[in-house]
Amino acid sequence: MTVSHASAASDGALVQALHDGDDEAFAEVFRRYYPTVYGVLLRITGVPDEAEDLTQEVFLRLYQRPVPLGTDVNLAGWLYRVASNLGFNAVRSRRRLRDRVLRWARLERPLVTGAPNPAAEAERSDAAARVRQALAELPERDRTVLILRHSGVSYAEIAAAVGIRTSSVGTVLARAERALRARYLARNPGAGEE
Amino acid sequence: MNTRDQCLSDGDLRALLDAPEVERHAGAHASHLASCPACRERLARLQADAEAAGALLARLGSVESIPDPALAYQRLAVARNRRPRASTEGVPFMHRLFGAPRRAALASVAIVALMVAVIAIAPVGTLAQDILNSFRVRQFAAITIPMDLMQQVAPELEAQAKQLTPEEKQQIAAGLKGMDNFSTTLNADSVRPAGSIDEARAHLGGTMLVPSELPQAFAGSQPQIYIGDAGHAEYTLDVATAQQILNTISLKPGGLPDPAQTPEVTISLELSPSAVLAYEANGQHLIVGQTASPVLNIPSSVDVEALREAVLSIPGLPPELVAQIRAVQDWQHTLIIPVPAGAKTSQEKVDGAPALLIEAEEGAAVLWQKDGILYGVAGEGLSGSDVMRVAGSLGS
Repeated sequence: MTVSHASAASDGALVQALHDGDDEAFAEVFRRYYPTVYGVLLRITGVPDEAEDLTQEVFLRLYQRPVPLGTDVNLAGWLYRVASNLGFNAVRSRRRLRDRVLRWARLERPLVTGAPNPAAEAERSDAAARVRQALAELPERDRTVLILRHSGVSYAEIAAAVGIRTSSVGTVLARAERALRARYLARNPGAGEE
Repeated sequence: MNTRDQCLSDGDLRALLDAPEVERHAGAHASHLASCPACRERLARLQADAEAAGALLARLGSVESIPDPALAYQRLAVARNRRPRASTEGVPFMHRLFGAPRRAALASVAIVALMVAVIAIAPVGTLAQDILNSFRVRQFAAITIPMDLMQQVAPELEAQAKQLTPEEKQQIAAGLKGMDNFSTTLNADSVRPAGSIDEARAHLGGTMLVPSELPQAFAGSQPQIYIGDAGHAEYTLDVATAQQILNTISLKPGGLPDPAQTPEVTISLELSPSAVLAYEANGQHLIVGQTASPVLNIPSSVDVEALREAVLSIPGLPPELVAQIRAVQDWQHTLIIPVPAGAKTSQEKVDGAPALLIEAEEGAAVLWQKDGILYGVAGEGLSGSDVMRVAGSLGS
């Protein structure tokens, strides 16, 4: 099949087209999922240019090795699973450091531009660091569910991404939200959440 | 009447918060909720948790800053052309460092970039009195980087950052913008495919070593050949600004010259032509690279010993890492290679020259210098003895 611009093709049809080597299908998947995948990775890594690199890596992997065909193809779940694995691995290891050096060596610049207000920027990064510390205390699966849901990912896609039943997503999510709030307040007594 | 077994689980209640309005009020759970104050109370608590978590997570990244997808797609298209379909699953350490073919020769640039960072913290020898101190690589040394290095250092730095006033933070952010400048003659086209070994040989100036023995998996496979141009890179630091920032965050500005005498420090790097042979078979990669040593020039106005001490005294640096760096001998000619904590390193010989062998779960690499030329052989999924055999078989 050939996928046209602004296609309404189902994920299953797109996966089939990817297997047929249809570049337009690949472009359509990219258009459809890039913003959410980037959002997930930005929340996991906290570093825009790293999130951008990892988002590219997610789609490169899809291109190299398309999601296996089958009756229960869940393209979104696959993308979010790869994204969260890559994101947490990057944070865990020193890949962040090494890749930034490689990126620097490749003379590439982030695509995000603009001149932020330095004071506001410093304030923001401080606030983000505090949230990140609290988040790091949660089990990885809970963290993943939390970040995916608050990036707008559906319950079914979250279930496919982390390998749990859709009916269990609410339970994990409720637990993770409660824990994040509690950890944050424990680390920052007297701090407002807003 | 409500019995306990009719009550909704936290999971069901939480899912209800994300359900469409109509389902929330008319769905299967609506009638129970209407008559059960306990469940309504729990729903309210879960909603408060969800909103609080949402507000906290919103601080981690703003949707406003999302990169332009069209530009991102262009960039992806370029990267996609460099990486063929049906390659290996994942991109392990060795492959990322040496493997991605078009990037392979640029990895030498990356290593030298690392050298800029670590040379100042290596043990110090006698500084020449020339205008410039020139550093050439004659050997390699490995230092093991703890997997959680960033986590070890970050809390200390964060603790310091917390003590800064908003004005100081603003000052630092403004200072960082104009503190340094980087320029280079290299660009994305500085590394490109070559048509033949002869072309690569001519590019290197006449001599190029190729392996006569390959691991069985690569038997009979032909390499992709890449060449990298010679180039020049410069990093200029505004000394007064750098000192001011370091002072603000209570780090010693050791090693930098007096800005009244030397307002700017320029470190330059000269790269020689390079060539890489990239073999691929069954999703495995084997890379053979060679280049004359890059030369790093640091002005003698920089007191490298004091700079090293300042860097080594950064709060939170693990003592064992500091000890490893201090233990490197002949620092002027030693390129320090950071390796992951699980990797094993050993000193070997290739063609009579001292060589550093790195063996990790993902593969192995060996690096050595002979007659002013740096060589590297790295293979994904290969053992140390595999890469040593390839290295030993190199000939012109």
